Amino acid sequence: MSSQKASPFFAILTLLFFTGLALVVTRTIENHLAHQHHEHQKPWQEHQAEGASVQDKDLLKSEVSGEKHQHALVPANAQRPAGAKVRTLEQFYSRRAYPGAPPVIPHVVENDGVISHNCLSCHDKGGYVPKFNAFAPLSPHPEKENCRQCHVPQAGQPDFAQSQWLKPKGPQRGISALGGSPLKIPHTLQLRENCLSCHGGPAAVEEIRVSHPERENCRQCHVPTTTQQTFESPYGLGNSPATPASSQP
Amino acid sequence: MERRKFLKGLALSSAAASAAALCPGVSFADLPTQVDQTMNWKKTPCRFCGVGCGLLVGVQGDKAIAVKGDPACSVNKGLACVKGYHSIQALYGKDRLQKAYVRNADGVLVETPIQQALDIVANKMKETISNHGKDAVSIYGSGQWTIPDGYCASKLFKGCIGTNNVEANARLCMASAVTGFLTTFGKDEPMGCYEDIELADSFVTWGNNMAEMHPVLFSRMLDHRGKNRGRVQIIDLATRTTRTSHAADRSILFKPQTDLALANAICHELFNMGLVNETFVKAYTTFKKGKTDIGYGLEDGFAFKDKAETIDLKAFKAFLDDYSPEKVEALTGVKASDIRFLANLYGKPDHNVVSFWCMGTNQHTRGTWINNLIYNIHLLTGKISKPGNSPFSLTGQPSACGTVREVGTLTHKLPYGVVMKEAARKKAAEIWNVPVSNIPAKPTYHTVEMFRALDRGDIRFMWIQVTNPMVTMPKLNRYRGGAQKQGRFVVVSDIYPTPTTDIADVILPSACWIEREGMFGNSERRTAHFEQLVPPPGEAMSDTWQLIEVARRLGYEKQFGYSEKNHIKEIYEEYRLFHKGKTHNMAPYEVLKKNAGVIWPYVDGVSTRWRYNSEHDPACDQSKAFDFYGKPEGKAWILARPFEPAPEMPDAEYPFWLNTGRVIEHWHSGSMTRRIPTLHQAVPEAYVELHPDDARKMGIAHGNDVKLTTRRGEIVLKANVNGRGKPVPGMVFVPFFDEGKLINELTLDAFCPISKQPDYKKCAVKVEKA
Amino acid sequence: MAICSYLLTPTPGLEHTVLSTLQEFPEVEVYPADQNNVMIVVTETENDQHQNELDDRIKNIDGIDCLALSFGAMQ
Repeated sequence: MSSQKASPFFAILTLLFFTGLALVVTRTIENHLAHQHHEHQKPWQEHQAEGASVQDKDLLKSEVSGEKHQHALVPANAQRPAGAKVRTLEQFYSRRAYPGAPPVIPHVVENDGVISHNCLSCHDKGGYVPKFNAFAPLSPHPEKENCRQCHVPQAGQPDFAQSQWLKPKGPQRGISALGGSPLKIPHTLQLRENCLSCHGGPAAVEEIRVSHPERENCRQCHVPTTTQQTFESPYGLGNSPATPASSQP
Repeated sequence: MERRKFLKGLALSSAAASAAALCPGVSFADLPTQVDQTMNWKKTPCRFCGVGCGLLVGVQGDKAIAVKGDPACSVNKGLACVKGYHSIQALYGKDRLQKAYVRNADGVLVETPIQQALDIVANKMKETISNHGKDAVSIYGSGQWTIPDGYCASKLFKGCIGTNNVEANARLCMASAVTGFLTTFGKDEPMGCYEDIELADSFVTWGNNMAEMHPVLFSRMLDHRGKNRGRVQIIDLATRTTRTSHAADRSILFKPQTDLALANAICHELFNMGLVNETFVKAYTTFKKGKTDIGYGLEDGFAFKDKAETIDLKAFKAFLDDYSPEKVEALTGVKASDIRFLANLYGKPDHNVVSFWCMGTNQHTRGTWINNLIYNIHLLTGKISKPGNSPFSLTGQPSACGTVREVGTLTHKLPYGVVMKEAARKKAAEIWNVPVSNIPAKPTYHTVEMFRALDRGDIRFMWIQVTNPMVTMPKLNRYRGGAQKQGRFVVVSDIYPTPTTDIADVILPSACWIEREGMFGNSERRTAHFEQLVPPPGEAMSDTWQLIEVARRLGYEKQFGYSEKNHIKEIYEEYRLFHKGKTHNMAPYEVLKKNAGVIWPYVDGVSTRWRYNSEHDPACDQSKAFDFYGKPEGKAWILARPFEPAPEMPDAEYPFWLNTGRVIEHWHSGSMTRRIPTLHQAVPEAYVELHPDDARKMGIAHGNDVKLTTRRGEIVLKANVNGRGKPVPGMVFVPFFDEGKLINELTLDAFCPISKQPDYKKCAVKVEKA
Repeated sequence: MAICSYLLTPTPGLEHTVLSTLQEFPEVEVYPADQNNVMIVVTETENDQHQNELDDRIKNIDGIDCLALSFGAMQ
């Protein structure tokens, strides 16, 4: 149990070192950890141990107020609470019908009648949200105002009918043309031209966090794999049967 | 080994992609099947609304697995909406119809080989025709029919069988737009195109929640405003506060039905404030008036024919006297100052204005009139047929324009012209290779009347394709009961079980969208082609091919001799013959295949983006700046259309207005979108929106059960207060996508006497806490 | 194991020579474009060293205008 609880600290530490965030930040976190490690028995630890689905349920229960910001936003470069939830690639994909699909909104949205501005109060500049004990993921396209055109919350009700849709497995890591050369970009850049919204900053997805966010010109070295986005087929290698009924789990 | 195979697939696909980037059009015949690991992006128009976004569908092997917006398509420039992004999942519901079903003597639907089911359909048609006559068989299609589907239906029923019993659900959504265009301009469909958005200074939305119903165009509008802060503004006119109202710079609410008075009041002020473009009005318009007190079509066999009379400017101004802002203030609930603001906005010189509207004006017992009235505003100010100045009637369905309006799958229409005109019948007979005597000169039944005829027994056989009328017909109880009567035979072609397949005698499994080849035509006259990208499941067959199979069984092999491999191309090229000429020429098949949609008229390789403007439209008399060539002397009609009340008004017993409509996540009756988990979870069930003051008075809180009762039916729904939309006080709103909560059992089947389009937005309802 | 793919542009007129030469290499699969102007070459070798040797051999074939590496997976 104790090692399970300790591991996120080291993961975060390692990550922070590689992100190239201001040293000051890491130092303060180190100090924070050194002083408070033993006293930490906070709810976030239980959540971490129980996995992503619990986090989602937790999010679903909490409401984001539309008009009044009931939660205090902390600037992104402020001290990051040691136990803030880490965004994982698994969680990242779990919110998308297929890699590249617009992610669903994993928390309750109170004001259903407004299309955007409230979303951007957290998802434009980002920052730590104490209520969710997490950093708000950044939108790679904050200039688009009609958020609810593509992003919808989920009620968690039974499905209307069963689906045979199998989610394609997304790229896990880029594939380098030759060992050691810069990784290629394994997805399209449409609406995702701001690389750092997923690959950098405190809300970055853990596995794909870039080690050198200070080099701003990402596409100087990383090129998209032409026009293709390569997924592993959800229906197995080669041709799948005309109807996937038989391969249903 | 799997890993090795996977890497090889990647290696090949990577090289193939580089080759494609380097040498466009390159192909490799010998690539092995591992390449199926590669996802190929293929272009298609979206399956859903009339905006007609270009999508790129990622196809891997025989499955569609991803979607992105097509950056090469000028409609959406790479963006889509939540329905479009998840559209491919609509193909993969577990209960997809893969086999035909035929109802046996015990009333049970039995799985049947499709060829046998098609035999049964053809035999039943023959039998019905011989026992009850040609006008006892009918087809009811859809604005989601592809162009070839609608074309084959019209050719089979009107040309070969010889009945005008051809209708489509676009009657329920676009008919008033059509009659609006025809009465004012003599030619259907918008004069402008979506490029007007980036050229406009102001937008006025008339009863049109674009943020949810035409989201991609709405975003284009917002982007344009964002880049021109302070100059560009959006004004929302509506009876319900929606996401569109919130995003607009100004939201003006009016009482249901009073848009007629509001539009006339704007015209009144244009004259009053000296904002009429007199040169334009004199040169390019003429004043007319039609009949008044025209009824509501509530009784069977209702007939109405409008008659236009020429009036002069003085008479028109006198007509407007009743509509001064102060006089209409109480009726409309709109402040006189707001009316003057609107008149100034429309009238001020050097200020481009685009008006958008859709169901709020079309589903209206005076739908034709309100369409006319918006054109009046644009004609009086001369803000029409010019880049950035556009009265723009938006469409609901992906091919309401392309198929229903252009192919003409309505009782009075032919692919070119109307059945009443001998020249139109001759042209059709010649292209269809049938005797001209086959095509009856008299229209039969419009949609509501067609279902009434089925109920009465005048129609005995109905074939329903790509639509779900047992969710979407108003006053549903009557029409469901009618369809289920003894001696009625209903064939339904669909992709999932629905309340309509529940009443079918034969169910034919259809191929959906990219499971077959086809074309759609969107709101801006853009025809877009899609290839077959994936195979249909089981025995599912395209609606086009179902019609061809039945036509051949009925003995029309000669007219339906298309080849299985190339039939879409052959049908389209045949159809194109109808539209030859500068006013409606359509792009050839090969051009459609290469582009993300092409706007007609397509003349000498160029699309006409602004019709009736001789700078842009080669069909105009080039000696004039504008030529509304659909009307005599090239003059558009400014029609005096008064305010008339709705047929069923709130009263002591039923004190509220009932308004119905859609939500962004669901497409029409929900048979597809509710099977897409992300969309279903976003809005899992229908609800009733109330104004917070009304809710408080009745002690209703958000989430409480509320019982709605009209003279036709009752329903219990969860209350939605301060949710997505807020109706004006005294009105409730219910979305219609939920087949488990059929709000159309409560709606009224009153329609616009000119367009015959029902009004789903207004009837009287009692609201109680359940 | 190393798997790579190349895009190869043959010298016009020498397409068939290049194709038949490449087809003699057991580690190589070739897919000429239907338009004959470009071909895809996929190689599978034991390791990077073999891959590099094969790379040199391919480069030395007569009649190649351009050889561009498109994909490489080395393990």
